[in-house]
Amino acid sequence: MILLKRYMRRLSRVLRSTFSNKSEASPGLEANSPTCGIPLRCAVGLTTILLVCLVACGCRQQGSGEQGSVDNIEQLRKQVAELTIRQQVLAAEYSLAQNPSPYLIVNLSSHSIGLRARGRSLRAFKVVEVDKRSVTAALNSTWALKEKKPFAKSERPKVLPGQGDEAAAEAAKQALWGPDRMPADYDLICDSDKTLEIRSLPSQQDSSRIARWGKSLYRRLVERYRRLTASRNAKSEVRIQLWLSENEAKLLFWSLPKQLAILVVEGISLPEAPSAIPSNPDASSAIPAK
Amino acid sequence: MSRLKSRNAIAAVGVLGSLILVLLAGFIGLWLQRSDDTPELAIPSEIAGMDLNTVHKQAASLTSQIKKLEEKENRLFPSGPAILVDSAANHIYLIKGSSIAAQDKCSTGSGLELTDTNGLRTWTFDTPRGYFRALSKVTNPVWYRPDWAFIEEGEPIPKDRESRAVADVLGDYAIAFGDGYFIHGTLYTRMLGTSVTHGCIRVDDDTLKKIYETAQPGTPIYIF
Repeated sequence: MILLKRYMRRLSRVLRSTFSNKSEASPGLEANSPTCGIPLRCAVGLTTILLVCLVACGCRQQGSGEQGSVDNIEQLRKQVAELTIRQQVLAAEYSLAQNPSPYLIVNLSSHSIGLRARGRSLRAFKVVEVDKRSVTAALNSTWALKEKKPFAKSERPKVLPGQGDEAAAEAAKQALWGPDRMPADYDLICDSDKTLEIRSLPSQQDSSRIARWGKSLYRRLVERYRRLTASRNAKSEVRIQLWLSENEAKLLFWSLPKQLAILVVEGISLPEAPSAIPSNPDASSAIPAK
Repeated sequence: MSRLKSRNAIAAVGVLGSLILVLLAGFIGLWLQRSDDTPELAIPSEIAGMDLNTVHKQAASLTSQIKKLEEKENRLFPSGPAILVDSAANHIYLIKGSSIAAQDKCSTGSGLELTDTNGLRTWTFDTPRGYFRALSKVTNPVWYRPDWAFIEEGEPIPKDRESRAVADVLGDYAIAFGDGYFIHGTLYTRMLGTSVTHGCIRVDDDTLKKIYETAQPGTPIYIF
């Protein structure tokens, strides 16, 4: 800038002396002298270059400013798109929560499953992996569970006629019924040919890391083979595969009622619902667990 | 000469084997490749065409709608008493407002399967999951034994209702929640915390009393 000012000052003096009042021209810059042409041309040339540079810089700054505002609008539009989905999903959940029956929220973006009732969480599950195979339809909408279809049925303990109540209780104690007896790989068949495929990976606490990796690889291979052989007969148009840890997959099977609504969410992560079981501030009045 | 040849052959087999292994690993890797990439959120055309002013207004309107929805949803959970049964942990909670009024071990369905001697009827002793409501409350309940109770004991099934009545096995109180299922007391308190019932929910006497006093017909029951 200082350089520019200096050249501008010099240029104005040269121009003044050249075109208007020659007598006022400075002694060093005599327009009529043969040597004055070079500094004048130099000054004019340099000034022009500097001016061009300045204009270019200004344009560039202006351009980046415009780009910034464009980015800003784009960002805002993206925010509005996200808010629209959030509003739609919340409205869908609200309509489910108005009904007292529990419902399931499967969030493909935040890799989570929540069993909820009236907007409160009964149980939450972590999804390890999601494979939605380019499914775009039927997302952010409500599915209706029709059937839980395990690959292998759990063998129930039997009580024989005439065995008696106490013997039955003893049999139940010997083969305790619980989530660990549930299947870990199953399909949740929903309306309109939609399926949530629940598949299991070894749980963190199961065996060593290498053994877990081996089991995990084996299960993936089995699943690929299963998909390959089943693809010819596959009826479902929309299939989403959710990989859970073995324990969580079993607990999910255990917890689900025969029929319920499932809200499949994608594109946003929803805040966690408050638990239906409150942390007790009034512990003194509660009967403690025995 | 022959030693040199065999060495070369071993080296060739080694290189070929390694190559096959690498290819196989790559093939398996590709085969198992997952498709869980979440695509970038596509902006719908109606939003893409909005000017700055409209975008600001829309964002403000949506934020307010979302806040209202969240507030409305927060108010949906019953503020009165509710009974929650965690059947995996065999634990029962009595919720009152935002606090736990009582909690204790309980017993839920054993999962046992009983088939009658003809093989015509089968019962599975599961506690149902989902939402239920307390339908009625009974003091000193009498149990009218269903058919399976006679089959399990190997007794003939009586015709009249009175022959089915048994007192003092359901504890002091019972809360019915439909299809013959009850929350009731038990004589087998040492089995609380395990899945040993025919589908009913057995609770210790003290906890049962508290639940009985608080719950009213219509009180929601969530079993999960």
